[in-house]
Amino acid sequence: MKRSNIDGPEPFSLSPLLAILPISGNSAKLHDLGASLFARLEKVSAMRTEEGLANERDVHRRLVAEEGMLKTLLDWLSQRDRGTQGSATGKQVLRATISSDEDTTGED
Amino acid sequence: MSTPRRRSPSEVLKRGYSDEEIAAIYDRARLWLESGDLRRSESLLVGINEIAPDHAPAWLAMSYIHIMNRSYDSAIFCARQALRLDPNMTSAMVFLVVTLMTTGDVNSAGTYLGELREKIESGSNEDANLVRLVKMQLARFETR
Repeated sequence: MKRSNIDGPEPFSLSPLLAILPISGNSAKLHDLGASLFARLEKVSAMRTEEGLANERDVHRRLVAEEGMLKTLLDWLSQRDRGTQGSATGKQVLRATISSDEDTTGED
Repeated sequence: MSTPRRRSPSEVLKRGYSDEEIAAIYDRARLWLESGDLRRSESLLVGINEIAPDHAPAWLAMSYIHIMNRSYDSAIFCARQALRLDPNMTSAMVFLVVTLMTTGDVNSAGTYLGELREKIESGSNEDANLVRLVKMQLARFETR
């Protein structure tokens, strides 16, 4: 099918290598995993400060990598939650505006 | 009585994650790559490579980050890791061709290109983007 002139560029033309990266998994499933990810972060942070494990270089590297991954995910989930709350507040403001308009109409 | 085999710490850590969770984290990392957020994507991919070192797509995505950072030797290492884990991963071969050509290792790139050409001619790969990219690399190889 011929592309329209107002369509954005296709992903391949922007980054061909990115376009052939395998697609797997569904990141939406992470939204329900906040509590378990947080529990894992606490566990990993505790393990990292454990004396025996912290002295093993490879183990320490793994723990630091996992801790960084979990922190990044939890930051993203919390930002997303704040965004959702923000939109809920927006809806509440909209409802309040509508109800105040109705009140004004009622007074008339 | 034999004592149970002592599990390595990496095995203990990996047991906490299901394949589905690892795939979901990889998907998030890939989406950040698409939006150009290499820093956050790298943080996830480094984590996956440590807790699930047999996850080939994460190694390939890490190779992409190294290419973007112009660390071609690291990019080749990661793409080779992906191909070692999944010998049928044609996208890893393409990554290797691109990086090997860039570093001037034309002979090695040619070997992978030959293999890719065979796969495409036999019809075993129908990914249009991949075929386009291989054809581009063939042209690059022929005009070097």
